[in-house]
This record gives sequence, structure tokens and C-alpha cells, in this order.
Amino acid sequence: MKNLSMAWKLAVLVSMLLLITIVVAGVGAFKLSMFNSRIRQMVDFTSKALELAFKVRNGILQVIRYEKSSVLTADDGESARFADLARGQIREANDFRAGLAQVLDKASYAQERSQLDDFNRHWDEFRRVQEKLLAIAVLNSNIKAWRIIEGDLARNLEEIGAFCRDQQKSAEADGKASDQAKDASKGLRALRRYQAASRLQDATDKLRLMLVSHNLATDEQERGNLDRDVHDLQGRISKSIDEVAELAEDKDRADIGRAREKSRIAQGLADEVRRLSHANSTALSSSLSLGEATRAANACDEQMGGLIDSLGKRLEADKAEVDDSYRTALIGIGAITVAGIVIGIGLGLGIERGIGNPLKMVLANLRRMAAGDLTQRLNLDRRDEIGEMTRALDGVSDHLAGLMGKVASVAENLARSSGQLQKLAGDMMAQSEETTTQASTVAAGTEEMTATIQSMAGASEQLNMNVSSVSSASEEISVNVKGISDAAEGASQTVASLAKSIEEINQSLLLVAREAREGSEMTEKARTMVESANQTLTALDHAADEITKVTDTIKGFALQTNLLALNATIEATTAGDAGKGFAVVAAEIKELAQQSARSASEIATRIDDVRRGSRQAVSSMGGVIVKIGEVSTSAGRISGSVASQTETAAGIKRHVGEANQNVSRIATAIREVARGANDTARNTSEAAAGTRNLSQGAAEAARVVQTIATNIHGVSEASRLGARSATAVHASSAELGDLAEAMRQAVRQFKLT
Amino acid sequence: MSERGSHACSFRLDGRLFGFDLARVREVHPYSPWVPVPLAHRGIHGLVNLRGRIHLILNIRALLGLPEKAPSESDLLILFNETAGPSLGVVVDEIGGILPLAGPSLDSSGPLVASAMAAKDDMLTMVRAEALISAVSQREPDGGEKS
Repeated sequence: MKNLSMAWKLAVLVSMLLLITIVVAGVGAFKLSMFNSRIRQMVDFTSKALELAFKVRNGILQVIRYEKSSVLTADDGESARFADLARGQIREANDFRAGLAQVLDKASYAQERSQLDDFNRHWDEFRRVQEKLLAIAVLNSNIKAWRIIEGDLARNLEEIGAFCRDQQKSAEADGKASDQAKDASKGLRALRRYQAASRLQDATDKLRLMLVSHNLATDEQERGNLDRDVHDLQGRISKSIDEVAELAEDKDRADIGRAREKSRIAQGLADEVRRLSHANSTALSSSLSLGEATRAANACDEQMGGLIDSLGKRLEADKAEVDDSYRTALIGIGAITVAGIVIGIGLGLGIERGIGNPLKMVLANLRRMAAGDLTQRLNLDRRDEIGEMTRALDGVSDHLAGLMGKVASVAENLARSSGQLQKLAGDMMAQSEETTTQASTVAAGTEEMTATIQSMAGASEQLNMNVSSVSSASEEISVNVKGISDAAEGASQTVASLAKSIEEINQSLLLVAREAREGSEMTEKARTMVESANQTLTALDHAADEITKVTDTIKGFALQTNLLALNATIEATTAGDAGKGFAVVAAEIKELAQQSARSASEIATRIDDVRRGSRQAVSSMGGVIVKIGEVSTSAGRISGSVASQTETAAGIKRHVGEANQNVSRIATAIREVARGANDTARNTSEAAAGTRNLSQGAAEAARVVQTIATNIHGVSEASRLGARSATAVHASSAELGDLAEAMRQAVRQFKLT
Repeated sequence: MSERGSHACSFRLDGRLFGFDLARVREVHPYSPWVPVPLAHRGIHGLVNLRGRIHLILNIRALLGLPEKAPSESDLLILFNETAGPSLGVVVDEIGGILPLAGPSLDSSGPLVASAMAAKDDMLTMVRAEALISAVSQREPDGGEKS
């Protein structure tokens, strides 16, 4: 990773982020599809099944409600309507049940399916019971019996009762009447009639109670007992009526016949009640409804409740599963996203650290380099761009350090060399000083030598005088002396040529002095010229001022003319058509006035330009004068130094001239010696030999003098040159020393090790 | 625009171009120092004798509400003929020349400014010369004296 290039790092980062995005999207899609299928299952199957189950349960409850209504309703029509409604509900519930079975099959809910099968068994039972119950419920036999008991039977029995009460009253009245009449048979008959009516009364009352009991009886045995009782009562009623009829008066015949009729009806009704009571449909249906049907319904309801509970649980489970899958989807996506972000941040931080830290190091190193510290190296072992960069930086540091080291050593050397040079220059100056001194000493020596030669010449004179006495005899010597003289002549000539060359130097020095003087004169001339130019310019300035005044006047004229022309225009315009021609003229005049004003302005501008230019020229000339003054001063200095040199050269020339004269004199003397010795030459060979030696010595001396003179000249020149060079060298070496010092200080700013 | 003449005598104040109807102008005169009139209207500079005739020189800057300016030698006097009032004149910075009046103009309802119009590259404001005298005859709103 460290050694991958930047582009690869970024590519890795980007591809990581892409991968994370794709994974998040994929997981999200997968989880969402799961989530979707769960919800679909919940909605399509479980909810549907639950709904159907509820509908079935609701149907059962409705059936029970309608069945109860049918049982409880006394009216036949109502009862039948409720029964039909109940049947319809049963059919509907059956349809729902079938639908539920289909849904459960489709959803393959095995447990619910088995529960539904259980329910189906109970359902069949329930249906059977319901059919039976409904069939009975519509009969309403007990209720009908009640109605008969309370209605027709009660009315008939009441009438019979009323007949009884009438018979009792008439029997009582008969009884009282027979008591008064003391008729015992009649009284007995009345009593018997009363008793018979009472018995009839009692039987009719009992019959009603018996029938109520019969109708309320719960089992067949009781009902059989009651049948017997009712039968007895019916017999007793018929017998009582017969007794009453037998004992009654004739006036009661109609009543008895009516009572007998009523009794017959009542008996028929009682039979009907008994029949209905035997049918016992209401009670049966009620008992069925409360018993078997309720059990079946409860069983169905229980089963369906179980089914609903289990479906509810399944729904809950589905819901939980949906929640779960939603949560897992959320957690999955979140976790992957977080992981992706963490990885991305990690990678990013890694790359950032991989780039940022070396960059910080590079920056710190560069700052240190800027501060002059070249000792730091990064030494990063990396093969990416950063590594290359740091290596390049290290290279730069190395290179700079090496360079600076070299510069430092060069500066050191330079400083040392310049020090040595300075010392050498000092030495040289001292030496040239010494040389000059020595040259002076040599010059003194030459003087002395010349004096010696002079004294030698005196000695030769004396010798000549001594030799003249023997000259006649020294012809040979003369010849030899002639040679000496010639040599002396040669020496003299050499000295003369030396003098001449000195003269030439002197001439050239004089030339230099003259040129310097001429330079000075030229400077003076230039100054004069500048001054005269200045004066001319001042004059020009005055003239320009005058011209400006004139142009101002012209401008004033132009202004006035302009105004006049304007006024003329006004006049002409007020004059209307008559003034038109005049207006043209006025316009022309105005134009002319404006032109003259323009020209005047132009002249003024030009004059100003000229003045400005000439002022500049004067100031430049002032500068030139200063420069020329400086040149003149240096020329004066040159002139002075040349003059002193010329003096020196003249001194040397004088000395050499004197030497020459001395040598000439020697030559002349020697020549005279030669002439004197001419005669004695041949005879004074010994003297000649000595004189020749002397002459040789003199020639030698002359040569030495010449050489010395030349040397002195050369030495003097060389020492002067040397001194000048030494001074220059000294100055240069001092500068060099300063430079070297500066360089050393500059280099010292860099830390190299 | 019934009273508009055919030409305008134009002038400049602070570089702005104004004009009088040329029919009101008698002549243009170089600057001549005037004698101030004590306690006079702010719009009156003073009196000046030109060729034996006394002229009342008005301060058109004060009347037009322009900033005051000390008089200079380069200023000019525009003198009006009798149609503008008795021997009146105003001080202006410079004369713009005689301009023909043509083209559309914007009329003003003000007492002094008659109209404004384009003139070459500039805007020319026409001032009613005949209204100047009535402008200085009115009481000054502040009742102040000429400072």
C-alpha cells in the first residue's frame, strides 16, 4: 500500500466506496424483497384467512341469533322469516368456510387446516341441529296452546264459571225460599244444585290449571298423568253440567244449553291444547336451542375461535417476522454502511497519512533548509511519488550541503590567500621601499665611484705627467693607449645613449604633463562655454518671456475680437434678414480671432517647450561642468605627479650627464695621455702596461657606471611600478579579504554537519 | 413654445450650458468690476458704468440656485436690450456662442427656466431674460440681506 502510486491509492479508495455502495444496494434490495414477500403473505393469506374466519364466526353467531329469534317469536310468519334468515346465514357461513379452506390450502397452513377440519365436523353437527331446531321452531305449539288457554278456553271457561255463579245464586235463592216455605225437598234440591254448580266451578278452574301444567310439563310421563287428570276433569265437568241441568228449573234451560255448548267447546279446546302440549315444539326447540344447538354452536365457535387465535398468532408471527426482517434489513444496511464508512475513512486516513505526514516532513525540512540547516535527511523508504519527492529533496539537501561545503572551503582558502596576498603585497611594498632606498644608496655609490674615477683620472694625470717624461720612448704604449681611448670613447657613447633614453623618457613625461595641462585647459574652456551657453539661455528665456507677453496680448486681442464678432453676430441676428451678410462676416472674423488665439497659444506652447529644453540643456551642461571639473582635478593631480617624476628623471639625467661628462673627460684625458704617450709609448712598455691596466680599469669602471646607471634607472622604474602595483594589489587583496570574509559569513549561515 | 426665438445666446456656468433668447441680448461685454449696492437683493451684484450707461448687474448664479463663485477677469457680462428690462446684465463664466434653436424641447413651468433641449453633445437650458428683473424685485423669502 505504501509503495503504490497515488493514482492507485485513489483508485483503491474509489473502488472500495463503489463496492460498499453496490453491497448496500444489493443487501437493501434483497432485504426489501423478503420484507415484501412477508407482507404479501400476511396480507394475502393470513389476513384473508382471518377475515374469512371472522366472517364464519360472525355467520355462526348470526345463525344463533336468528335461530333464537325464530324460536322466541310466537308469530308464525316472523318465525319462518327468521328461520329463512338463519338458513341464509348458514349457507353464507358455509361459503365462507369453503373459501377459508381454499385459502388455508393455498397458504398450506397445516395446523389451521386441521383445526378447520375439526371445525367442519362440529359445523356439520351444528347445521344438522339447526335444521332440526328451525323446523321445530316454526311450529310454536306450546305458544299456540298458551294462546288457546288464555284466549278461547279462558273465555268459555269464564262463561261456564259465570253460569255456575248464576246457578249458585239461584240455588241459594231457592234454598232461602224453600226455608221460608218450609219445603224440605225443594230445599234439598236447591242445595244439591248449589253443590253441583260449585263442583262445575271447581272443575272448570282446575281444568285451566291442569292445561297450564300440561303445557308447562317437561316430560312425557308427567304429561300422561296430566292427560288422565284432564280427562277426569272433562268427565266431571260433563257430569256436573248434567247434574245441574237435572236439578235446574225450566227457566234455566237456555242457560244450561249455553253452558253445555260452552263446555263442549272448552272440552274441544282442551283437547287441542293437550295435542299442542304433546307436540311441545317450543319447549323442544328451546331445549334444543339451549342444549344441543348451543353446544354445537359453542363447539363451532370454540373451534373457530381456536382457528382465529391461531391465525391471529400467525398474523402476530408474520408481523413480528416482518418487523424482524425490517429490523434485520435496517441493521444489515446500517452495518454495511457503517463498515463501508469505517473502511473508507480508514483508507482515506491511511492515504492521507501516507501523503500528509511525508508532506509535513518535507515542509519541515524545506523550512529548515530555508533557515540554513542542511543536515536533515528524510530517508523515506517508499517507492511512490512521495518517496521520489523526499529522495529528490534529500538529493537537493546533499547537493546543497556539498556545494555549501565547497563554497565554505573555497571562502576559507580565499580568505587565507587574500591574507597571504595582503601580506605579500605589504612585503612587496616594504621591499620596493627598500629597493628605492637601495637604489638611492647605489646612486650614492655611483657618485662615489665617479669621484673615485675622477681621483683616478687625477692619478692618471699625475701618471701622465710622470709618463710624459718617458713618452717618447713608449710608442707601443701609445698605440695601446689609443685602444684604451677608443674604449673610453665607446663608454662615453654608451653613457650618452643612456642620457638620451632618459631624455626621451623625460620628453614623454613632459608630453603627459602637457596633455594633462591641455586637459585642464579644455575643462576650463568647456566651463567657459557652458557659462556662455547659460548666459545665452538666460537671454533666450528673456526673449521667450517677451514672446509670451506678445502672445498673451495677441490672445487678448483675439478674445476682444471674438467678443466683437459675437456682438456683431448678435446685432446681425437681431437685424434679421438684413443682417445675414454681416453675420457671415462676423462669423469669419470670429473664426479668424479664434485662429489667432490658437496660433498664439501654439506659439506660447512651443516657446515653453524650447525654454524647457534649453533649461534642461543648461542643467545637463552644469552636470558636464562638474564632471569636467572632476576630470580637471585628476588631470591636475596627474600633472603634479608627472612633474615630480620629470624632476626625478631630470635628476637622474643630470647625474648620468655628469657621469657622461666625467667619462668624456676621462676619455679626453686618456686621449691626451695617448697623445703624450705617443712618443714614449714604445719605450714605456712597463708604464704602458700599467696605464693599460689603469685604462682597462677605467673602462671597466665606466662600463660598471653605465650598467649601474641603467640598473638604477630600471630599478627605480621597477620599484616605482612595483610600489604602485603593490599598492593596487594591497587594495585589491584587502577588498578580496573583505569579500572572502563576507562569503565566509554567508556560508556560515548554513549548517552543514 | 410660442415665445421661442430662432437663436440662443448660450453661456456656461460651472460648465453647464445655459442660454438666453438672442432677441433679448444687446451685447456681450468683457468683465468690468461693479460697485456693490448695500442691502440689495441677493440676486444683485451691483452697478457698473459701461460707455456712460449705468447697468444693473444681476447674480444669475444666485437666481438659478448655483453655488457662488468669486468674480474673475475671464468672466463676461451679457447685457440685455430694453425687451428684458432697463439696462440689465448678468455675469457668466464663458460664452458658448450663438446657437440656432431647432428640434424638440422640454418646457418648464418655472418662473426663470423656460425650457431644456439638446444642443450638440450637451443639454441647453433656456433662461427667461425678461423674468430676471421680476425675480430680483420680489421680496426674498428669508428677507435676508446680501451677504
